[in-house]
Amino acid sequence: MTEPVVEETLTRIASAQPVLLNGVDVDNLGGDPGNPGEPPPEPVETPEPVYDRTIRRDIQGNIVPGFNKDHQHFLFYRFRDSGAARRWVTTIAPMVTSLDEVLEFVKLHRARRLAEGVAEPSGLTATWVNVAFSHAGLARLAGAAAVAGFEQSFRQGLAARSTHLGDPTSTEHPGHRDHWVVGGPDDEADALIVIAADDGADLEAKVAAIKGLSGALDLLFEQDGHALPGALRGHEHFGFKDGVSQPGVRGRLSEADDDFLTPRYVIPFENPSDARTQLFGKPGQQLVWPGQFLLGEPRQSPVDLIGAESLPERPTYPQWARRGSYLVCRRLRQDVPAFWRFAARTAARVGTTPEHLAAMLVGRWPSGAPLMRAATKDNQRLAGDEFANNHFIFDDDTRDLPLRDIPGYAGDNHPPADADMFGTACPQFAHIRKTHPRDSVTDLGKPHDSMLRMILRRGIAYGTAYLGAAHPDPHTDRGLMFLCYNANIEDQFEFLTRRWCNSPIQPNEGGHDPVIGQRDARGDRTRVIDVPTSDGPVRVSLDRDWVIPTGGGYFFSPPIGALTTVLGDAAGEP
Amino acid sequence: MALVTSFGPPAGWRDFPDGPDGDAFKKNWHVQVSDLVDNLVISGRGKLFDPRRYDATVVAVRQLSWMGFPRALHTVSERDDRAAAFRLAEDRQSQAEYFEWHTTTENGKVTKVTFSVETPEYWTVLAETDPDRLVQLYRRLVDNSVQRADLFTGGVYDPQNKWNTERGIVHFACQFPQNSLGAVLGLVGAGAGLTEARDNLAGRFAGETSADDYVVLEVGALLRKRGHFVTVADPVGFHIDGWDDTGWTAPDGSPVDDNWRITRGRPGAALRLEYEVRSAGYTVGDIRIGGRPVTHGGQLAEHVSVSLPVVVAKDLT
Repeated sequence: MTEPVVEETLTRIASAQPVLLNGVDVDNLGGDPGNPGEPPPEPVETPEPVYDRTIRRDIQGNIVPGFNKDHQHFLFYRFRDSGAARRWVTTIAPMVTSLDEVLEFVKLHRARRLAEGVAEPSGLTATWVNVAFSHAGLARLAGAAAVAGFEQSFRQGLAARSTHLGDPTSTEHPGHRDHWVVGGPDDEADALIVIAADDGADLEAKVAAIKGLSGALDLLFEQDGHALPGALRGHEHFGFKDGVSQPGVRGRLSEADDDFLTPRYVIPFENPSDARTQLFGKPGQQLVWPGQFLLGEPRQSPVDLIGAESLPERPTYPQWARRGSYLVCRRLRQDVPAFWRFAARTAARVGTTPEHLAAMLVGRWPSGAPLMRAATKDNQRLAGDEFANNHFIFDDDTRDLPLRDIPGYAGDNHPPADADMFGTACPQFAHIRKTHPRDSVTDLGKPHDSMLRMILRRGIAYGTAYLGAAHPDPHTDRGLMFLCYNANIEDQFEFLTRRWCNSPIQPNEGGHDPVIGQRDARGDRTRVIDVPTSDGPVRVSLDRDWVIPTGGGYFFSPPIGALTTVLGDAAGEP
Repeated sequence: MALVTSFGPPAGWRDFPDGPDGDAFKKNWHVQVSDLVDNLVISGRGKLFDPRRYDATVVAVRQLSWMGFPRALHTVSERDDRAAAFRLAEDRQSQAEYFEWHTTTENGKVTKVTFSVETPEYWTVLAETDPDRLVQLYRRLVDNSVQRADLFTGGVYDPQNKWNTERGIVHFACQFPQNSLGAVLGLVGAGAGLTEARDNLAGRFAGETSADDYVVLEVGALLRKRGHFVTVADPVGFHIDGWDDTGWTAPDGSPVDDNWRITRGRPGAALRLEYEVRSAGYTVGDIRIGGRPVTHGGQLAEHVSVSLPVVVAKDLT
């Protein structure tokens, strides 16, 4: 890195700390949602499904609520022999961590985090394991007939869909699938194990244990992932807080009034005519029906913002796969110096700072504070307020939402988000606007349609940090292990990638997604953004790829019970 | 001076050379669009304005842009069966997004797909102005064997004639809902009625098509902005504003050539677009999109978008 202004910016980002909420008590929230005197709510047509403990123990925990651990390891295996592979599945099945186990931990972690004002409460650790299989892997375990009903993109696999996602078509390009470290043609894994821990030593021990049980398989590739150090914890390598906005999964844990999978801080039904109060778990967190992520569950309606759609007459998956989820894994190398060089040069051209320009590319400041509520400079207090840092829409002024009484929480006193329909504060090309248009109309239609595209992101950084390092090596392989869960790869992950991120005019005109968007028109990888300035938009071409695909695969994370009954050796020869 | 003195032909396309016929057509088209705009402004509740009557500061020309493939099939009725969606979408009466196409096949294999965003209004005016020119254009665009009698019923131009339906495409033919300029201006007017909604999340508007949603909700949101007014952009009409053939492969696995050809309109504002492999020794049906063979024109249509530009303005005088 040569530009002093960039070095100064990165040094500041690497040490900036958000002001976390402190003394907030969410531990005892429950029971009555707090609108005495109001008439009883009108139930939505489809009641949210109840996931009792038996069901919760059957769903893998990285799908919902997500591992979100600082240390993770990924093992990509190829089966040698089907019988040995089935025995291996039976062996590891008891190690697989369920939704139930993760949720219990998360509830405790969350309560202590908000009460103590720390990012990581002390003495609270766990080590978890999840497993997923490619279509070919499942076929080897359960036989071709048992896996014929899966969706087409999954059956094809990531390598076959690579150029459809905008990946390079030229074999000269380092991102071409032929160069991938895993998942390229003839190098696709049958199984992916995800191991996650709070403690690095715990992780190493669990990885060693699993490897010790996996001698009959070929280890194609393995990857460590770790949260970046210090103040950059939870940030990706460009320096931006990652995973701020995730959908909230609808569903109940019991028949009790307020016992939801995703906590409800917005008072539902306070104003029955305002759909927003039934749409959000906490401000900005849209509630999505679980069938968008778990096969066979009630899913989001394309004609009703808050309602569910009845299940299709013909199942679109094998019956044994119910409550499993497709796992997309993309190993994305990040060229940090290239990203920031572009930010600095473009900033100089349009008359702003590198940090502001980079924030426009992302839609949030490095802290995670959204441009929609902090248009001109970062706001660490806003970044640390999880009830406010995701509360904004784009096209109209964002209105308050009725929050339950949360002991210790002073309320959202941050600057409001004003309407930004023309993308002058948060540009149309900003990554968060391309991938999550919120209230905006899109090329597909109303916000209802956008909710059908949402995914659950479970990524973690890999490689040593560039930011904050005394003498960083610009050539080190560093990036993001991007993982996401969805119930239809083509309609969710692939749709977001191809139709929105890779397009200069969709979901709304203004340029490609400069973070993960790709384009490859017969080898031409030119992408553009229309940078807003006081004199109108300035069109800028992105001078190179700074996110390069280097591996991955399409996997399916089955229900835990199926590991024994369908995929393991107890099921017998298919 | 008013923003518009005379409405021009869509995308500035000229079907008539300069001269008396051209002047007559220009006048007739302006009258046709003026009639539609009169209806729109009357129904527009005040914040839609007549560009023939007012000057204004233009804030933006907003491209209202949506997917050409019918949402009703893509996202609603055939959400779980993309093959069925493509099959059903070949029926022009399903192509309800102000974007229609005709698929040409030989021996069951797709050889060409022709897309159009032209309106029945335009072609009716053209037919009324110069029937002979209409026949010439049909012959050039569809088939040399087109006869005048094929296009007129009782002396009146028939937009549902066979050369614009089962045998080819010149302009919109979808009737229920109708794809027409008048229909989309009706949506603009409906959007003007949404200004009392606070935002797109609080309201419950839900259209059947992507076009319904986009035009109504976007115009509503634009007009909610203080001091903003909206009107149609001149020339008034739809454009094919983009397509994406990344990941489309030839039989040898290499990326396909640029097989798109704008035959009416211009880049960014195409009126008629054709996709045909002209010299590579294979045909459209041999192409794979994301690894899947092309069997229907709708598979291409899914990657094409259509737009309607509107003008956002302030300070009307």
